[in-house]
Amino acid sequence: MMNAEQVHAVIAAGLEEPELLQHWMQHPDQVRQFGVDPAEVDWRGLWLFAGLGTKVRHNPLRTALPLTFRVLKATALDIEIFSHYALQSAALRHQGKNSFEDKVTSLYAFLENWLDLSDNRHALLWDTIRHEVLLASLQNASRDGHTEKKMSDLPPLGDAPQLSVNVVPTINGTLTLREMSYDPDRVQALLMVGSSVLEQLEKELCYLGYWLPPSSDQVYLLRLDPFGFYLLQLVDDTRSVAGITRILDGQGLDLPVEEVLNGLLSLADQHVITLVEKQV
Amino acid sequence: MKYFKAKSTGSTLIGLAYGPVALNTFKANEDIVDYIEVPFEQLHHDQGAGEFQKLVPAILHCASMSVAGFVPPLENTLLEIAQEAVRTGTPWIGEHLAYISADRISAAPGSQDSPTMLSYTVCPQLSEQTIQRTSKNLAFLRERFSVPIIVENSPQYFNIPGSEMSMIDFIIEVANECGVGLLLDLSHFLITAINMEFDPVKEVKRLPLDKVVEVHLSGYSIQAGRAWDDHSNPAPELEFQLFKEVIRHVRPQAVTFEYNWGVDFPQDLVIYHLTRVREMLS
Repeated sequence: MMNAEQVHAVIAAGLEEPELLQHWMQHPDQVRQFGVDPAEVDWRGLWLFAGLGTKVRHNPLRTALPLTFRVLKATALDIEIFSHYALQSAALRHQGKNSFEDKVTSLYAFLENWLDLSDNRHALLWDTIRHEVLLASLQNASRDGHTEKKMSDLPPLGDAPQLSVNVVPTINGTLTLREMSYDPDRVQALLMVGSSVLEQLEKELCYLGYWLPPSSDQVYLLRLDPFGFYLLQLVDDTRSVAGITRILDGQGLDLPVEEVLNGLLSLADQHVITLVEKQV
Repeated sequence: MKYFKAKSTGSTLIGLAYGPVALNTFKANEDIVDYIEVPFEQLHHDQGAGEFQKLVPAILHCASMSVAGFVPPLENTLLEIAQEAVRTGTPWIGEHLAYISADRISAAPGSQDSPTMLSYTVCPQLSEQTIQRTSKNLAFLRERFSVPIIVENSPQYFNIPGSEMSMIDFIIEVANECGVGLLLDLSHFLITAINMEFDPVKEVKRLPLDKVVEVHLSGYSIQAGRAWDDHSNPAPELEFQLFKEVIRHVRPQAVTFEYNWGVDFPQDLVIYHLTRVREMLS
C-alpha cells in the first residue's frame, strides 16, 4: 500500500519541477525511493496535467492575445503546447521573471522554435501570435511616443517632388512587413462564428504591412500585392529608385524604371512613404 | 456593501465566478446575477477585486487550505481567509477537496525544509488514509471560521497511485465521515466520468445529493485523449441534464457559472445559461 503523503509529495514535486518530471519519465524506478510504485504512475497524464497548470498560469495573457488563445482553443493544441512549454515556463519563474512582458516574450520564443510550420494548425497559430504581438508592440511604441515624424510634416501630395530615378523613398512612421499564410482578419471573423468553421480556412499567402503613421496611435493593417511588398522591403531611407531598380535587375526582375516609380507612387499616395529628391 | 442572503427556504441564488465576464454581465443585467463568487487568492493579491461588493453580494471560494492534504496551510493564510470571510459576509467558504501543498521530497523526516507549494489544486489519493486526514483537517479548520466550509469535488485526469476507491466513493465517504456540505462541480464530475470511464448519468445518483449546498457549472475540452477543465468553454448539454437530476433530489442554495478564463466569452450565452438554470429551478 502506498502512503498518500508520499504520493502527494512525488506528484507535487513533478508538477513544480518539470525537469524532474521529465527525468522520472526516463528513469521511473527512481521514485521507488520515495515509496511510490512507478508502475502505478500515469506519467503522460501527470505531464499533461502540468501543461494544464501552465496554461492556467498564462490566463492573464488572454487580454493581450485574445485571438491567439482562441486559435489555441479551436485547434485543440493548448494542453500539448503548454505541456512542452512547462519546462521553459518554470525556468522563467525561477529567474523571478513573472511580468506580463516576460511571459509573452518567452512564450513567443518557445513557439518560434517548437512549432512545425508544415502542420497547418501550427502555421495558423504562429501567424496569429506574430500578428497580435506585433500589433501590441506597435501600439506600445505609439503610446511611448517612439514615432518621430508628425503627419503634418508629410508633404501634401501636390508638393511631391518631380519623379526621377534620383528620388529616395522613405517610410513614414514605422512599418513592419509580414508574409502570412493566414489572413488574421479572416481568422478572427471565422472564430466569431465558431471554432468548427476553422476547418473551412485554407492557406492563402498574404502580404501585410503593419503601419503606424507618425504621431498616430492607430496601427493600420495594409494588404499589399507581392510587388508592393517587395518594393517596401527595399526601402531603407537611403536607396534611390535607381538603386532599387538595380537590385531588382540583379535578382532577375527586369522591370522598367517607370513601373518601379509607379509602384512607389502608389505607396506614396497612401502616405506610407514619402519620395524625397536626392541631393546630387 | 451587499451581503449574500438566502431568499427563502428552498430557493436558489444564481451567480457567476469573479472575472471580466461576471463584472460585465452584472453591469449589463443587474437583475439576473444574484452574487459573484470570488477566490480568496484573488482578494489577497488584488485589493481592488472586492470593489464589486458595493453592488452585488459575494461568496468566498478558496484553494489554499489543502483540505485533503498532509501539509497544513500557514497560520497567516488562515487568519486572512477568516478576515475575508467576515468582511465579505460569505454564507460559507467553498474549498477544493484537494491539496495545494505537499512535503518536499528532498526533506528528511522532521526536517524544516519548506513544503512544495503549487499554484493550483491537485486531486488527492482516493484512499481511507486521505479520508481520515481530511476529517482531521476539517475538524481543525472549522474552528477557525465563523461560517461552514463546503468541499468541492476535484476533476480527475489520471489514476492517483495507491487509490483504493473511485471518486464517487471517495466523495460519499468524505461527506459521511466528515459531515461536510458539498460544492458539486458538475464540470469536474463530468471530466472525471470521461477520464475514468464511468456513466455520469448513472453515477450522479449515487452521490450524497442531500449534502449539496452549491453547484458549479462550466465547460471542458477534450485534448490528447482526455477531458480537461476549461472555464473558457460553455457548460455542455449533458451538464444541464446532470443538473436536472441533482435538483430532483435537492435545492442547492447557490448555482455558480464559472466562465472566468476567457475575456471574450459571449455575454448572450452567459445570460441564456443564467436564465435557463433559473427556469429549471422555478
